[in-house]
Order: sequence, then C-alpha cells, then structure tokens
Amino acid sequence: MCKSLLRQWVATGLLFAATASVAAGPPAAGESPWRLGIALGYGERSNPLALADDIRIGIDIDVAWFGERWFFDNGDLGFTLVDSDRYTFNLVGRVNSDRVFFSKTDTDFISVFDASGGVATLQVSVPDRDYAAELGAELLVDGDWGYLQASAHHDVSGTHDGLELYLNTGRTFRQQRWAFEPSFGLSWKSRKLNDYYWGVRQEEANVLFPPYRAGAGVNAHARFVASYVLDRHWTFLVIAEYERLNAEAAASPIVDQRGVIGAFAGFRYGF
Amino acid sequence: MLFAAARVAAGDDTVTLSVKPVLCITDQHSASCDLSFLVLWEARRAGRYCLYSDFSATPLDCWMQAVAGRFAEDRVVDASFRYWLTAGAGEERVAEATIEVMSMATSDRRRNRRNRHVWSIL
Repeated sequence: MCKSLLRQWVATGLLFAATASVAAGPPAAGESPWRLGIALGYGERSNPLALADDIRIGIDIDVAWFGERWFFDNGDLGFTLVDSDRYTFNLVGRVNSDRVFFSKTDTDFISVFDASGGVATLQVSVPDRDYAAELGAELLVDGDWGYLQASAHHDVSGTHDGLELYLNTGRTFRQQRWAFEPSFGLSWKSRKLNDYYWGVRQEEANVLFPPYRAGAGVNAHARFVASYVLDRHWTFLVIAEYERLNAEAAASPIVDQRGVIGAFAGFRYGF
Repeated sequence: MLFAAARVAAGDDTVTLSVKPVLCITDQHSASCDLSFLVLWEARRAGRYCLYSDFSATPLDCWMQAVAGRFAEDRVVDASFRYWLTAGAGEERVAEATIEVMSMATSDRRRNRRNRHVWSIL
C-alpha cells in the first residue's frame, strides 16, 4: 500500500510537470546557485534512546546548490517538476533522520544472578540501526500567511521498506534585523519504518530490552528560531525545538524519553 | 557594522560622517524598508559643507562656517544608496556612507520555500 501511494505521488508530480505552464527557472543573473554557510555556537539535542548520550552541536554547515531543475540541499538531492507562483513540486532523495540517535549509543555492563546462584556479567547495548536512503516527493507552498511543506518519502535502500508522510507549517515575522520564525508539524511513520528503528528483534533482545514490535505512529514537532542580522555575512541565532515521539516508538524498551528537546545559540556566517 | 559610521580623512582635515541605520533587510514579502535616517557629521576645520544623496542632484542641506551638522529624513528604500559630504566651493567629496539593502530572499522560489529538515539548526 505504501509503495502504491508513493507511485501515485510521483505520477501526480509527473502529470503536474507535463501540464504546468511555469517551470523552474535558473537563478537571476549575478546570483550564485550556491548557498554556503557555517554556524558556530553551542547546542544540545536530547537523545530519547536508553543507554545513549545527548547530541552536542557545536558546528553546523549549510551547503546547497540550486540549478535549473536539479538541486542539492544539505543532503537532499532534488529535481524540480513544477515551480510556479503558487507552489513548488519536487522529487527528493534523502537519508532518513531517525538513524541519528543511534550514533550516540553506549554499551553497559550489568550483573545478574544466574540459576546456580552465581553472578554473571552481561554486556547490554541498544541494537544498531542503519541509515536508509529514501525517495519521495514534496509540495512547497508559501504566501503572506506563511509557508507549508508536505512530503512523502519511501525507503528505496531496503533498510526499513517503510514510508514517512511529513507536514510542516510556519511563518517568518521580520522586523528589520530581527526575524522570528515559529513552525510546527506532524510526521506519520509507517509500521515498517517505526518497527525497524524502534522495535527490538528476538535475536537482539536481552535482559534490559525485551522483544518489541512497533506499529505506525505520528510524531509532532515544534520549533522556534530567532535571529538578528549583524551584517551582510554574520547572523546571531537562537533555536529551540521539541519533538514528541509517537506512542509506538515511545513504548519501545530502548526508548526512555518520549520528548526530544533541542536548543542552539550561536553565530552563522554566510559566504 | 551594527549602526554605521563612515569615516573619511581628506588630507589633514578629518571629516566623520555617521548614518543610522545603514542596513535595510528585505524578503519575498517586503521588498522595501521604511526607515528614519539620522545623518551626523563632524569636521576639524570650520567651513562650508553640503550633504548629498543618490536621490537628489541638489544638496539635502548645507552648513556655513560649521564644524558639525545633523540631518534627518524618512525614506522608503529598496536599493543601496549613498550619503556624502562635500566641502568648499569646489564641492570636493570629503566623506561618504553607504546604506545597503540586503535581501533575505532570492529570485529562486525553491530556495525561499525550502526549509531545511527539522533537525537542522540553520
């Protein structure tokens, strides 16, 4: 069902591309297709996994290139099918983001009494998970009211074979050098995606992490960005974000926090 | 430069020209800035000084036998421009300040519309 839904999205996009009167255009003369930036500062993102460290953020690099139809945007590789005054429709290949938490897991050693009354030491760790390459489509709409981003991505690497539907909306309020941008959204993750990352297979189970099967669920997220332009290159920014994991993921034995909190303050230099 | 101060030395006669603000930020929803400019100048030597901008061929104001001056105006800005100060009958340009218009938007709608992933910090 997931694959057929994705096929419908792509087919709809191709139909739009064939009928749209306005296509993506190249950047205006003198405008670089590149967007390069680097942010330096301090931030942390909590890790919902048990036996895992929070993720520290000291540096973030912004690398994007937008050609006439192809683009690369910080890991997303895209092809623009339609770019009109009202909306943009892109095909996008990307790497799944759920894997990021599994890079900061630890191994723990626990002592248990065995049947003979002796003590045994067991090595316990969160099961490892792989990155997944995903292909999908996104619809971008904006106006004076703000912006909306809707997307569907399906695994094409055979990692989890699941689907994610993503919806995000927000608005930027600008007062000269200051800009404030609240945004929020939802992300539906299919059973296969959720179970791959948050489930515990029989062969992975141990005394701390019993077998668990995760079903589909909806994550919710909110984000607030405040920035102050210092000059043409430098911007000071503060970011706070919160993501609430879906109930199926939160109930997993490898998860001990349902909320993921992130914050960052620092300076961005745009080249 | 947060509040702008342009300073030029012409020979031994240092003239300072300060303008606030010096930056206009636009985006896809607002292509211009409605700003109140305050222009201040100071010179070591008294003389005749005139203030100009790119918007007018005639002086915005002139001062006789003065060592300092002040000029204020409201203006809608959608492109970078300059204020400059001239001295003496020869109208020699002795100080200049540039007000920059910086657009946060690009002509490529995809770049304006595309928001980075929720986990990105930029």
